[in-house]
This record gives sequence, C-alpha cells and structure tokens, in this order.
Amino acid sequence: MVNEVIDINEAVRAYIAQIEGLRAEIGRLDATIATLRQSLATLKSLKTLGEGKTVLVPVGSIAQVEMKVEKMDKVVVSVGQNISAELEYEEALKYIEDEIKKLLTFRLVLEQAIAELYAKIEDLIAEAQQTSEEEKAEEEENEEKAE
Amino acid sequence: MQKLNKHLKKKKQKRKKMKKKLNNEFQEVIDFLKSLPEGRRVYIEMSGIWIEVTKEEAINYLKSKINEKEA
Repeated sequence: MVNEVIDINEAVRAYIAQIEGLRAEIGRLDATIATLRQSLATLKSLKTLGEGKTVLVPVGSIAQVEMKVEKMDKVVVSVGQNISAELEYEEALKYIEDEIKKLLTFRLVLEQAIAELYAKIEDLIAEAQQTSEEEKAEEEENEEKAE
Repeated sequence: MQKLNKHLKKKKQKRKKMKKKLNNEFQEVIDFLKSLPEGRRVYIEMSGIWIEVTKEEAINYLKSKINEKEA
C-alpha cells in the first residue's frame, strides 16, 4: 500500500512537470505569435501611411535615423534557417499569416496534450481514493471479525 | 546491461527523430525558395551580417547544412 501510494505520487509529479513544460512552450509560442502579428500590423500601416514618407529607424536602443520609404511593393522576410527572401508585399502578408496559422495549430495540439495529462492525473487521484476506501473497508471488516 | 542497452537505443532513436525534424525544416525552406520566381533577392545571415546571394546559392548553402548534419 505504501509503495503504491509512492508510485502514484511520483506519477502525478511527473505529469505535473510535463504540464509545466508544455505551458512554458505555449508561452513561447504566444510571444512569437504576438511578434508576427505586430509585424503584420506594421507592414499594413507602413503600406497605408508610410509610403513615400520619412520614417525613423532605430539604430540600437538610443538613436534613430531618418529614412524615406519609397515603395512598399517589396518586403524581405525571414523564411528560416538564417535565410531571408525578397517577397512581394502581398506574398509577405500571406507568408506571415500562414506562419501564424501554423503556430496556432501547434498551440492547440499542446493544449490538448495538457488536457490529456490532467485527465491522467484525475484518474490517478480516483485510483488512490478507491484504494484507500477499499483498505478502510477491509480494516473495518477485520475489526468486526476480531470483536 | 540490458537496461543500459535499452536506454542507449532509446537515446539513439530520439537523436534520429530530431535530425529528421531538422532536415524537414531545412527542406521546407529549400522548397519555399524553389517556389520563388527568378530575380528575387535572397540573403544569408552569418554572424549578424546579411549577405545577398542568388536563389541557387541559398539552396546549395542549405543542402550543405543538411549534409553536415547527416555526416
């Protein structure tokens, strides 16, 4: 009985550790998604408001340099593995939107995995309670026999 | 000994799986580059420096990275 309880505790701890890891991963995904959405919004704003105008581009964290946005028909986008490619404006928007969709899909998978782990924990708790109740019933029965 | 062999086998399988995933990621980028029309500018970032290359050069660069990891 003691060993069984220890096993259940260890299993629960392991599941909780997995859940925490998955939650951390979801946090990182959310940060990435937010960044991509910001990029998307900025591109759209530059297209409508910045074309042909002077903008300030940060140089480090303390200075900015004036630059003029001639046209927004081309965008250089990071496509992974230290590679960036020149895309048409609409292509760039679509590429970023597709990346966001992929990340949201993956996020959903992680959330489902967390739900499954919680279900396993609940099953273990129920199992522990059932074992405890059975032992109490057995003890009571033994006491009655002794009397 | 049997337990150790089992552990090593599991570890080997994990490395193989990670390698496959990484190769897939490289291949996705290669496929994307191939889908681009000719004349598009492509850059490779190395130590904070972005180098403009041709599409073919970028593809060859990525293929060489895959070969390095498979070796």
